[in-house]
Amino acid sequence: MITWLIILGSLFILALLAASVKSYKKKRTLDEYMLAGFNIGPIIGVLTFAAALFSAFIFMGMPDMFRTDGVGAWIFLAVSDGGMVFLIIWFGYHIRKKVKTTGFRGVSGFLTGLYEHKLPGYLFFITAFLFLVPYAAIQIRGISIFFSATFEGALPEWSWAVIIVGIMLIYAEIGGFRAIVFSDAIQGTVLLVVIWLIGITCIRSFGSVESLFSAVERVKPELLSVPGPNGLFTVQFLIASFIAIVLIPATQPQLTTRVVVIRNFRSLSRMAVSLGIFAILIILSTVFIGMYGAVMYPDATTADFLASALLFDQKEIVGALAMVGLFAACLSTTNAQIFALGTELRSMMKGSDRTVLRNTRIDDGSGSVFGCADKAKTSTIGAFLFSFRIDYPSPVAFPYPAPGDRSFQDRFPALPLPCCRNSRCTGLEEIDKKPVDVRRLPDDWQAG
Amino acid sequence: MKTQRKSIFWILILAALILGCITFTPLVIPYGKHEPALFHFPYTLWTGLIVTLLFVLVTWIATCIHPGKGEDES
Repeated sequence: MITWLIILGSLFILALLAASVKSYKKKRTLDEYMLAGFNIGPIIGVLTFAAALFSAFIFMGMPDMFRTDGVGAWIFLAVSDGGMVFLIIWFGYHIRKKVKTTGFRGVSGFLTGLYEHKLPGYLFFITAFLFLVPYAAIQIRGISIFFSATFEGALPEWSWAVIIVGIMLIYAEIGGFRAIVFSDAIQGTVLLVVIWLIGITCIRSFGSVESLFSAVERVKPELLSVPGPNGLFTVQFLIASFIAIVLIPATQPQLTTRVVVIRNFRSLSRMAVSLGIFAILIILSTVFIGMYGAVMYPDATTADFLASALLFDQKEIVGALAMVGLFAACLSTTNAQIFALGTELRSMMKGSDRTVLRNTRIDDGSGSVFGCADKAKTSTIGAFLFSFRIDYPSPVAFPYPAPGDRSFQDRFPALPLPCCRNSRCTGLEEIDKKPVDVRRLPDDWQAG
Repeated sequence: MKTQRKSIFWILILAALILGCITFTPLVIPYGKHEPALFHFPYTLWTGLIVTLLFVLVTWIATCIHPGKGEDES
Protein backbone atom coordinates (compact mmCIF):
# COMPACT_ATOMS: atom_id res chain seq x y z
CA MET A 1 0.00 0.00 0.00
CA ILE A 2 2.86 2.35 0.83
CA THR A 3 4.21 1.96 -2.72
CA TRP A 4 0.83 2.85 -4.20
CA LEU A 5 0.53 5.73 -1.79
CA ILE A 6 3.88 7.15 -2.87
CA ILE A 7 3.01 6.75 -6.58
CA LEU A 8 -0.49 8.20 -6.34
CA GLY A 9 0.55 10.90 -3.87
CA SER A 10 3.36 12.00 -6.19
CA LEU A 11 0.99 12.11 -9.17
CA PHE A 12 -1.40 14.21 -7.13
CA ILE A 13 1.29 16.68 -6.07
CA LEU A 14 2.51 16.88 -9.69
CA ALA A 15 -1.04 17.64 -10.84
CA LEU A 16 -1.24 20.43 -8.26
CA LEU A 17 2.05 21.87 -9.44
CA ALA A 18 0.92 21.67 -13.08
CA ALA A 19 -2.30 23.52 -12.17
CA SER A 20 -0.26 26.14 -10.37
CA VAL A 21 2.21 26.67 -13.23
CA LYS A 22 -0.61 26.72 -15.81
CA SER A 23 -2.30 29.50 -13.84
CA TYR A 24 0.84 31.59 -13.51
CA LYS A 25 1.02 34.81 -15.46
CA LYS A 26 3.77 37.34 -14.96
CA LYS A 27 1.85 40.58 -15.36
CA ARG A 28 -1.52 39.82 -13.88
CA THR A 29 -3.94 42.23 -12.34
CA LEU A 30 -5.17 42.08 -8.77
CA ASP A 31 -8.51 40.65 -9.90
CA GLU A 32 -6.76 37.97 -11.94
CA TYR A 33 -4.63 36.95 -8.99
CA MET A 34 -7.25 37.07 -6.24
CA LEU A 35 -10.49 36.36 -8.15
CA ALA A 36 -9.41 34.53 -11.32
CA GLY A 37 -10.57 37.48 -13.41
CA PHE A 38 -14.26 36.67 -12.67
CA ASN A 39 -14.08 34.08 -15.43
CA ILE A 40 -14.75 30.62 -14.00
CA GLY A 41 -16.84 28.28 -16.15
CA PRO A 42 -19.60 25.96 -14.88
CA ILE A 43 -17.64 22.67 -14.82
CA ILE A 44 -14.64 24.04 -12.96
CA GLY A 45 -17.11 26.09 -10.92
CA VAL A 46 -19.02 23.09 -9.61
CA LEU A 47 -15.83 21.19 -8.80
CA THR A 48 -14.23 24.10 -6.94
CA PHE A 49 -17.44 24.85 -5.03
CA ALA A 50 -17.83 21.17 -4.12
CA ALA A 51 -14.19 20.80 -3.09
CA ALA A 52 -14.38 23.90 -0.90
CA LEU A 53 -17.70 22.78 0.59
CA PHE A 54 -17.06 19.09 1.18
CA SER A 55 -14.22 18.85 3.64
CA ALA A 56 -12.80 15.75 5.26
CA PHE A 57 -16.14 15.56 7.06
CA ILE A 58 -17.76 14.08 3.98
CA PHE A 59 -15.07 11.42 3.85
CA MET A 60 -15.05 10.48 7.51
CA GLY A 61 -17.77 12.29 9.40
CA MET A 62 -20.66 11.27 7.18
CA PRO A 63 -19.94 7.52 7.03
CA ASP A 64 -19.53 7.53 10.79
CA MET A 65 -22.71 9.53 11.27
CA PHE A 66 -24.66 7.01 9.18
CA ARG A 67 -23.04 4.19 11.16
CA THR A 68 -23.84 5.56 14.60
CA ASP A 69 -26.92 7.75 14.07
CA GLY A 70 -28.57 6.23 11.03
CA VAL A 71 -30.28 7.42 7.88
CA GLY A 72 -31.39 10.73 9.41
CA ALA A 73 -27.92 11.91 8.36
CA TRP A 74 -29.30 12.14 4.82
CA ILE A 75 -31.86 14.72 5.94
CA PHE A 76 -29.15 16.50 7.92
CA LEU A 77 -26.82 17.01 4.95
CA ALA A 78 -28.24 16.00 1.57
CA VAL A 79 -31.64 17.65 1.92
CA SER A 80 -29.99 20.75 3.36
CA ASP A 81 -27.57 20.82 0.41
CA GLY A 82 -30.62 20.58 -1.89
CA GLY A 83 -32.01 23.72 -0.26
CA MET A 84 -28.60 25.35 -0.52
CA VAL A 85 -28.38 24.93 -4.32
CA PHE A 86 -31.68 26.76 -4.65
CA LEU A 87 -30.30 29.59 -2.53
CA ILE A 88 -27.24 29.79 -4.80
CA ILE A 89 -29.56 30.86 -7.64
CA TRP A 90 -31.70 33.16 -5.55
CA PHE A 91 -28.94 34.83 -3.56
CA GLY A 92 -26.33 34.48 -6.32
CA TYR A 93 -28.36 36.50 -8.79
CA HIS A 94 -28.83 39.40 -6.37
CA ILE A 95 -25.24 39.57 -5.13
CA ARG A 96 -23.88 39.40 -8.68
CA LYS A 97 -26.24 42.17 -9.77
CA LYS A 98 -25.03 44.35 -6.91
CA VAL A 99 -21.37 43.51 -7.56
CA LYS A 100 -21.72 44.91 -11.09
CA THR A 101 -22.34 48.36 -9.68
CA THR A 102 -20.17 48.27 -6.55
CA GLY A 103 -17.30 46.02 -7.63
CA PHE A 104 -16.02 43.10 -5.56
CA ARG A 105 -12.78 42.50 -3.76
CA GLY A 106 -14.14 40.35 -0.95
CA VAL A 107 -17.29 40.07 1.13
CA SER A 108 -16.06 42.35 3.94
CA GLY A 109 -15.17 45.17 1.57
CA PHE A 110 -18.38 44.58 -0.35
CA LEU A 111 -20.45 44.99 2.84
CA THR A 112 -18.50 48.11 3.80
CA GLY A 113 -19.28 49.65 0.43
CA LEU A 114 -22.89 48.52 0.48
CA TYR A 115 -23.71 50.02 3.88
CA GLU A 116 -21.24 52.91 3.52
CA HIS A 117 -19.99 52.07 6.97
CA LYS A 118 -17.00 50.07 8.15
CA LEU A 119 -18.82 48.19 10.91
CA PRO A 120 -20.58 45.51 8.77
CA GLY A 121 -17.31 44.81 6.96
CA TYR A 122 -15.29 44.49 10.17
CA LEU A 123 -18.02 42.38 11.77
CA PHE A 124 -18.05 39.98 8.84
CA PHE A 125 -14.27 39.82 8.72
CA ILE A 126 -13.93 39.12 12.45
CA THR A 127 -16.61 36.41 12.44
CA ALA A 128 -15.11 34.82 9.31
CA PHE A 129 -11.67 34.92 10.91
CA LEU A 130 -12.91 33.43 14.19
CA PHE A 131 -14.76 30.69 12.38
CA LEU A 132 -12.29 29.82 9.64
CA VAL A 133 -8.97 29.84 11.52
CA PRO A 134 -9.93 27.02 13.92
CA TYR A 135 -11.71 25.22 11.03
CA ALA A 136 -8.57 25.34 8.88
CA ALA A 137 -6.41 24.47 11.89
CA ILE A 138 -8.43 21.34 12.62
CA GLN A 139 -7.85 20.14 9.09
CA ILE A 140 -4.12 20.91 9.11
CA ARG A 141 -3.84 19.14 12.42
CA GLY A 142 -5.91 16.23 11.10
CA ILE A 143 -3.76 15.66 8.03
CA SER A 144 -0.52 15.95 9.99
CA ILE A 145 -1.70 13.33 12.52
CA PHE A 146 -2.82 11.14 9.65
CA PHE A 147 0.54 11.31 7.88
CA SER A 148 2.43 10.95 11.11
CA ALA A 149 0.52 7.71 11.78
CA THR A 150 0.93 6.46 8.22
CA PHE A 151 4.67 7.08 8.00
CA GLU A 152 5.28 6.26 11.62
CA GLY A 153 8.50 7.73 12.96
CA ALA A 154 9.53 9.34 9.66
CA LEU A 155 8.77 12.90 10.76
CA PRO A 156 7.17 14.52 13.80
CA GLU A 157 3.61 15.81 13.47
CA TRP A 158 4.64 19.46 13.34
CA SER A 159 6.90 18.75 10.35
CA TRP A 160 4.00 17.30 8.41
CA ALA A 161 1.98 20.41 9.24
CA VAL A 162 4.84 22.62 7.98
CA ILE A 163 5.04 20.61 4.73
CA ILE A 164 1.28 20.78 4.16
CA VAL A 165 1.09 24.52 4.83
CA GLY A 166 4.18 24.96 2.64
CA ILE A 167 2.55 23.13 -0.29
CA MET A 168 -0.59 25.22 0.07
CA LEU A 169 1.32 28.49 0.24
CA ILE A 170 3.59 27.69 -2.69
CA TYR A 171 0.93 26.72 -5.17
CA ALA A 172 -1.42 29.50 -4.09
CA GLU A 173 1.41 32.05 -4.35
CA ILE A 174 2.44 30.90 -7.81
CA GLY A 175 -0.97 30.49 -9.35
CA GLY A 176 -3.28 32.61 -7.20
CA PHE A 177 -6.99 31.94 -7.02
CA ARG A 178 -7.02 30.30 -10.45
CA ALA A 179 -4.52 27.68 -9.26
CA ILE A 180 -6.68 26.99 -6.22
CA VAL A 181 -9.72 26.60 -8.44
CA PHE A 182 -7.90 24.17 -10.77
CA SER A 183 -6.52 22.18 -7.85
CA ASP A 184 -10.03 22.10 -6.34
CA ALA A 185 -11.25 20.60 -9.60
CA ILE A 186 -8.62 17.86 -9.37
CA GLN A 187 -9.43 17.27 -5.71
CA GLY A 188 -13.20 17.24 -6.27
CA THR A 189 -12.82 14.60 -8.97
CA VAL A 190 -10.51 12.48 -6.82
CA LEU A 191 -12.95 12.73 -3.92
CA LEU A 192 -15.95 11.59 -5.97
CA VAL A 193 -14.11 8.69 -7.60
CA VAL A 194 -12.53 7.42 -4.38
CA ILE A 195 -15.67 7.62 -2.31
CA TRP A 196 -17.60 5.61 -4.90
CA LEU A 197 -14.86 2.99 -5.19
CA ILE A 198 -15.10 2.50 -1.44
CA GLY A 199 -18.91 2.57 -1.50
CA ILE A 200 -19.06 -0.10 -4.21
CA THR A 201 -16.68 -2.33 -2.25
CA CYS A 202 -18.96 -1.97 0.77
CA ILE A 203 -22.06 -2.96 -1.24
CA ARG A 204 -20.28 -5.85 -2.95
CA SER A 205 -19.11 -7.26 0.36
CA PHE A 206 -22.80 -7.92 1.14
CA GLY A 207 -23.77 -8.87 -2.40
CA SER A 208 -26.43 -6.19 -2.91
CA VAL A 209 -28.02 -3.06 -1.44
CA GLU A 210 -30.94 -5.23 -0.26
CA SER A 211 -28.64 -7.56 1.71
CA LEU A 212 -26.81 -4.57 3.17
CA PHE A 213 -30.00 -2.96 4.54
CA SER A 214 -31.35 -6.37 5.66
CA ALA A 215 -28.17 -6.90 7.67
CA VAL A 216 -28.53 -3.43 9.22
CA GLU A 217 -32.14 -4.23 10.12
CA ARG A 218 -31.01 -7.35 11.95
CA VAL A 219 -28.13 -5.65 13.75
CA LYS A 220 -29.70 -2.29 14.69
CA PRO A 221 -33.08 -1.42 13.13
CA GLU A 222 -33.11 2.00 14.86
CA LEU A 223 -30.48 3.11 12.32
CA LEU A 224 -33.07 2.94 9.54
CA SER A 225 -35.29 5.68 10.94
CA VAL A 226 -35.10 8.96 12.81
CA PRO A 227 -34.15 10.02 15.45
CA GLY A 228 -31.61 7.18 15.30
CA PRO A 229 -30.26 5.01 18.12
CA ASN A 230 -28.75 7.97 19.99
CA GLY A 231 -31.74 10.26 19.45
CA LEU A 232 -29.61 12.80 17.57
CA PHE A 233 -31.86 13.55 14.61
CA THR A 234 -34.73 15.30 16.31
CA VAL A 235 -36.86 17.74 14.32
CA GLN A 236 -35.24 20.65 16.18
CA PHE A 237 -31.74 19.47 15.30
CA LEU A 238 -32.62 18.91 11.66
CA ILE A 239 -34.31 22.31 11.27
CA ALA A 240 -31.38 24.12 12.92
CA SER A 241 -28.81 22.35 10.73
CA PHE A 242 -30.97 22.93 7.63
CA ILE A 243 -30.96 26.69 8.21
CA ALA A 244 -27.22 26.77 8.91
CA ILE A 245 -26.32 24.71 5.83
CA VAL A 246 -28.71 26.44 3.42
CA LEU A 247 -27.15 29.80 4.31
CA ILE A 248 -23.56 28.64 3.70
CA PRO A 249 -23.18 30.44 0.32
CA ALA A 250 -24.03 33.71 2.10
CA THR A 251 -22.11 33.17 5.33
CA GLN A 252 -18.82 31.56 4.32
CA PRO A 253 -16.64 33.95 2.30
CA GLN A 254 -14.77 31.25 0.36
CA LEU A 255 -18.11 30.07 -1.07
CA THR A 256 -19.64 33.52 -1.57
CA THR A 257 -16.53 34.37 -3.59
CA ARG A 258 -17.06 31.30 -5.77
CA VAL A 259 -20.62 32.41 -6.48
CA VAL A 260 -19.38 35.85 -7.54
CA VAL A 261 -16.42 34.78 -9.71
CA ILE A 262 -18.44 32.51 -11.98
CA ARG A 263 -18.34 33.83 -15.56
CA ASN A 264 -22.05 34.71 -15.93
CA PHE A 265 -25.47 33.84 -14.57
CA ARG A 266 -25.93 31.05 -17.08
CA SER A 267 -22.75 29.38 -15.82
CA LEU A 268 -23.89 29.93 -12.23
CA SER A 269 -27.20 28.22 -13.04
CA ARG A 270 -25.47 25.20 -14.51
CA MET A 271 -23.08 25.13 -11.59
CA ALA A 272 -25.91 25.14 -9.02
CA VAL A 273 -27.84 22.28 -10.64
CA SER A 274 -24.68 20.22 -11.12
CA LEU A 275 -23.70 20.85 -7.52
CA GLY A 276 -27.03 19.40 -6.37
CA ILE A 277 -26.37 16.24 -8.38
CA PHE A 278 -22.77 16.10 -7.17
CA ALA A 279 -23.95 16.34 -3.54
CA ILE A 280 -26.48 13.52 -4.01
CA LEU A 281 -23.85 11.28 -5.61
CA ILE A 282 -21.19 11.89 -3.00
CA ILE A 283 -23.48 11.59 0.03
CA LEU A 284 -25.22 8.50 -1.33
CA SER A 285 -21.96 6.63 -1.32
CA THR A 286 -21.35 7.52 2.32
CA VAL A 287 -24.72 5.88 3.18
CA PHE A 288 -23.36 2.54 1.98
CA ILE A 289 -20.03 2.97 3.77
CA GLY A 290 -21.85 3.88 6.99
CA MET A 291 -24.31 0.98 6.77
CA TYR A 292 -21.43 -1.37 6.06
CA GLY A 293 -19.74 -0.08 9.21
CA ALA A 294 -22.95 -0.49 11.21
CA VAL A 295 -22.88 -4.22 10.49
CA MET A 296 -19.16 -4.91 10.42
CA TYR A 297 -17.96 -2.56 13.14
CA PRO A 298 -20.98 -1.69 15.26
CA ASP A 299 -19.06 -1.05 18.46
CA ALA A 300 -15.75 0.14 17.08
CA THR A 301 -14.48 3.64 17.77
CA THR A 302 -14.67 6.18 14.95
CA ALA A 303 -10.96 5.86 14.25
CA ASP A 304 -11.09 2.05 14.22
CA PHE A 305 -14.07 2.03 11.88
CA LEU A 306 -12.54 4.53 9.46
CA ALA A 307 -9.19 2.80 9.39
CA SER A 308 -10.86 -0.49 8.60
CA ALA A 309 -13.57 0.61 6.17
CA LEU A 310 -11.53 3.14 4.23
CA LEU A 311 -8.13 1.45 4.21
CA PHE A 312 -7.77 -2.11 5.42
CA ASP A 313 -10.94 -3.54 3.86
CA GLN A 314 -10.11 -2.08 0.47
CA LYS A 315 -7.77 -3.27 -2.25
CA GLU A 316 -4.40 -1.70 -1.67
CA ILE A 317 -4.67 0.71 -4.60
CA VAL A 318 -8.10 1.87 -3.37
CA GLY A 319 -6.75 2.23 0.17
CA ALA A 320 -3.91 4.36 -1.15
CA LEU A 321 -6.36 6.38 -3.25
CA ALA A 322 -8.49 6.85 -0.14
CA MET A 323 -5.52 8.37 1.65
CA VAL A 324 -4.85 10.67 -1.30
CA GLY A 325 -8.57 11.52 -1.43
CA LEU A 326 -8.60 12.34 2.26
CA PHE A 327 -5.54 14.52 1.85
CA ALA A 328 -7.23 16.17 -1.15
CA ALA A 329 -10.43 16.84 0.82
CA CYS A 330 -8.55 18.45 3.70
CA LEU A 331 -6.22 20.39 1.42
CA SER A 332 -8.90 21.84 -0.85
CA THR A 333 -11.10 23.02 2.00
CA THR A 334 -8.21 24.43 3.98
CA ASN A 335 -6.60 26.33 1.13
CA ALA A 336 -10.00 27.73 0.09
CA GLN A 337 -10.53 28.99 3.64
CA ILE A 338 -7.07 30.46 4.05
CA PHE A 339 -7.09 32.14 0.65
CA ALA A 340 -10.57 33.52 1.41
CA LEU A 341 -9.25 35.10 4.60
CA GLY A 342 -6.50 36.76 2.56
CA THR A 343 -9.13 38.00 0.10
CA GLU A 344 -11.26 39.35 2.95
CA LEU A 345 -8.31 41.18 4.43
CA ARG A 346 -7.42 42.61 1.06
CA SER A 347 -10.98 43.85 0.56
CA MET A 348 -10.63 45.94 3.72
CA MET A 349 -7.34 47.50 2.62
CA LYS A 350 -6.91 50.75 0.80
CA GLY A 351 -4.28 51.67 -1.77
CA SER A 352 -3.34 50.88 -5.33
CA ASP A 353 -3.74 47.37 -6.73
CA ARG A 354 0.04 46.99 -6.69
CA THR A 355 0.33 47.93 -3.00
CA VAL A 356 -2.57 45.73 -1.95
CA LEU A 357 -1.26 42.81 -3.98
CA ARG A 358 2.18 43.20 -2.45
CA ASN A 359 0.71 43.21 1.05
CA THR A 360 -1.53 40.20 0.56
CA ARG A 361 0.83 37.74 -1.00
CA ILE A 362 4.43 36.68 -0.90
CA ASP A 363 6.30 39.02 -3.19
CA ASP A 364 7.89 37.55 -6.31
CA GLY A 365 11.49 37.76 -5.25
CA SER A 366 11.65 41.31 -4.02
CA GLY A 367 12.77 40.31 -0.60
CA SER A 368 9.60 39.87 1.38
CA VAL A 369 9.27 36.14 0.98
CA PHE A 370 9.47 35.67 4.70
CA GLY A 371 8.59 39.23 5.59
CA CYS A 372 6.27 39.84 8.50
CA ALA A 373 4.63 42.61 6.51
CA ASP A 374 2.68 40.07 4.50
CA LYS A 375 -0.50 40.48 6.43
CA ALA A 376 -2.50 37.81 4.64
CA LYS A 377 -0.07 35.22 5.82
CA THR A 378 -1.18 35.99 9.36
CA SER A 379 -4.26 33.87 8.80
CA THR A 380 -2.17 30.98 7.46
CA ILE A 381 0.32 31.23 10.27
CA GLY A 382 -2.55 31.67 12.73
CA ALA A 383 -4.20 28.49 11.47
CA PHE A 384 -0.86 26.70 11.54
CA LEU A 385 -0.10 27.75 15.12
CA PHE A 386 -3.65 27.14 16.23
CA SER A 387 -3.42 23.59 14.93
CA PHE A 388 -0.90 22.85 17.68
CA ARG A 389 -3.23 24.18 20.34
CA ILE A 390 -5.85 21.60 19.48
CA ASP A 391 -5.66 18.52 21.57
CA TYR A 392 -8.32 16.08 20.52
CA PRO A 393 -8.55 12.52 19.35
CA SER A 394 -8.59 13.34 15.65
CA PRO A 395 -10.96 11.25 13.58
CA VAL A 396 -8.24 10.86 10.99
CA ALA A 397 -5.79 9.36 13.42
CA PHE A 398 -6.31 5.72 12.77
CA PRO A 399 -5.09 3.12 15.21
CA TYR A 400 -2.54 1.08 13.45
CA PRO A 401 -2.39 -2.30 15.19
CA ALA A 402 1.00 -3.09 16.61
CA PRO A 403 2.49 -6.42 15.60
CA GLY A 404 1.12 -9.00 17.99
CA ASP A 405 -1.70 -6.74 19.25
CA ARG A 406 -4.24 -9.35 20.24
CA SER A 407 -6.80 -6.82 21.44
CA PHE A 408 -7.02 -5.49 17.88
CA GLN A 409 -7.76 -8.96 16.59
CA ASP A 410 -10.42 -9.45 19.26
CA ARG A 411 -12.14 -6.28 18.14
CA PHE A 412 -11.80 -6.98 14.44
CA PRO A 413 -11.82 -10.71 13.81
CA ALA A 414 -12.31 -10.06 10.10
CA LEU A 415 -8.99 -8.28 9.85
CA PRO A 416 -5.60 -9.95 9.67
CA LEU A 417 -3.09 -9.12 12.35
CA PRO A 418 0.27 -7.81 11.22
CA CYS A 419 3.14 -9.86 12.46
CA CYS A 420 6.30 -8.07 11.41
CA ARG A 421 9.66 -9.06 12.71
CA ASN A 422 11.48 -6.10 11.22
CA SER A 423 11.57 -3.21 13.67
CA ARG A 424 11.19 -0.68 10.83
CA CYS A 425 8.18 -2.44 9.40
CA THR A 426 4.94 -0.45 9.59
CA GLY A 427 2.78 -3.53 9.41
CA LEU A 428 1.23 -2.57 6.10
CA GLU A 429 3.42 -5.01 4.22
CA GLU A 430 1.94 -7.99 6.04
CA ILE A 431 -1.58 -6.78 5.47
CA ASP A 432 -0.78 -6.41 1.80
CA LYS A 433 0.11 -10.07 1.64
CA LYS A 434 -3.12 -11.22 3.28
CA PRO A 435 -6.22 -10.14 1.38
CA VAL A 436 -9.01 -9.28 3.78
CA ASP A 437 -12.21 -11.23 3.51
CA VAL A 438 -14.70 -8.44 3.98
CA ARG A 439 -17.61 -10.83 3.56
CA ARG A 440 -16.91 -12.32 6.95
CA LEU A 441 -19.14 -10.71 9.54
CA PRO A 442 -18.22 -10.30 13.18
CA ASP A 443 -19.23 -13.41 15.16
CA ASP A 444 -21.85 -11.60 17.19
CA TRP A 445 -23.49 -9.56 14.46
CA GLN A 446 -26.78 -11.43 14.66
CA ALA A 447 -27.14 -10.82 18.38
CA GLY A 448 -27.74 -7.11 17.54
CA MET B 1 -42.78 38.41 -20.24
CA LYS B 2 -40.38 39.45 -17.50
CA THR B 3 -43.26 39.98 -15.05
CA GLN B 4 -44.59 36.54 -15.85
CA ARG B 5 -41.16 35.03 -15.24
CA LYS B 6 -40.94 36.91 -11.97
CA SER B 7 -44.29 35.47 -10.86
CA ILE B 8 -43.23 31.94 -11.77
CA PHE B 9 -39.95 32.43 -9.95
CA TRP B 10 -41.81 33.50 -6.80
CA ILE B 11 -43.99 30.38 -7.11
CA LEU B 12 -40.80 28.33 -7.25
CA ILE B 13 -39.47 30.06 -4.13
CA LEU B 14 -42.73 29.14 -2.44
CA ALA B 15 -42.36 25.56 -3.69
CA ALA B 16 -38.83 25.38 -2.23
CA LEU B 17 -40.09 26.71 1.11
CA ILE B 18 -42.95 24.21 1.17
CA LEU B 19 -40.51 21.43 0.30
CA GLY B 20 -38.30 22.53 3.18
CA CYS B 21 -41.25 22.51 5.58
CA ILE B 22 -42.54 19.11 4.42
CA THR B 23 -39.11 17.62 5.12
CA PHE B 24 -39.59 18.10 8.86
CA THR B 25 -43.01 16.49 9.06
CA PRO B 26 -43.82 12.80 9.64
CA LEU B 27 -44.40 12.56 5.90
CA VAL B 28 -40.63 12.39 5.42
CA ILE B 29 -39.26 11.66 8.88
CA PRO B 30 -41.74 9.51 10.80
CA TYR B 31 -40.19 8.68 14.17
CA GLY B 32 -39.10 5.08 14.57
CA LYS B 33 -40.59 3.89 11.27
CA HIS B 34 -38.64 2.52 8.30
CA GLU B 35 -41.39 0.87 6.26
CA PRO B 36 -42.47 0.91 3.44
CA ALA B 37 -39.13 0.49 1.72
CA LEU B 38 -38.51 1.45 -1.90
CA PHE B 39 -35.85 -0.47 -3.83
CA HIS B 40 -34.80 -1.79 -0.40
CA PHE B 41 -34.08 1.75 0.81
CA PRO B 42 -35.64 2.51 4.23
CA TYR B 43 -38.53 5.00 4.23
CA THR B 44 -36.73 8.12 5.48
CA LEU B 45 -33.85 7.52 3.10
CA TRP B 46 -35.92 7.25 -0.07
CA THR B 47 -38.28 10.06 0.87
CA GLY B 48 -35.23 12.20 1.73
CA LEU B 49 -33.68 11.27 -1.61
CA ILE B 50 -36.86 12.33 -3.42
CA VAL B 51 -36.97 15.64 -1.51
CA THR B 52 -33.34 16.33 -2.47
CA LEU B 53 -34.05 15.50 -6.11
CA LEU B 54 -37.10 17.78 -6.01
CA PHE B 55 -34.94 20.60 -4.66
CA VAL B 56 -32.55 20.10 -7.59
CA LEU B 57 -35.51 19.97 -10.00
CA VAL B 58 -36.99 23.19 -8.59
CA THR B 59 -33.54 24.80 -8.89
CA TRP B 60 -33.26 23.66 -12.51
CA ILE B 61 -36.70 25.06 -13.39
CA ALA B 62 -35.75 28.27 -11.56
CA THR B 63 -32.64 28.61 -13.72
CA CYS B 64 -34.72 28.18 -16.88
CA ILE B 65 -37.32 30.82 -16.09
CA HIS B 66 -35.25 33.16 -13.91
CA PRO B 67 -36.10 36.79 -14.68
CA GLY B 68 -32.39 37.65 -14.80
CA LYS B 69 -31.56 34.91 -17.30
CA GLY B 70 -29.31 36.22 -20.05
CA GLU B 71 -28.74 39.55 -18.29
CA ASP B 72 -25.00 39.24 -17.86
CA GLU B 73 -24.14 37.07 -20.85
CA SER B 74 -20.97 38.31 -22.47
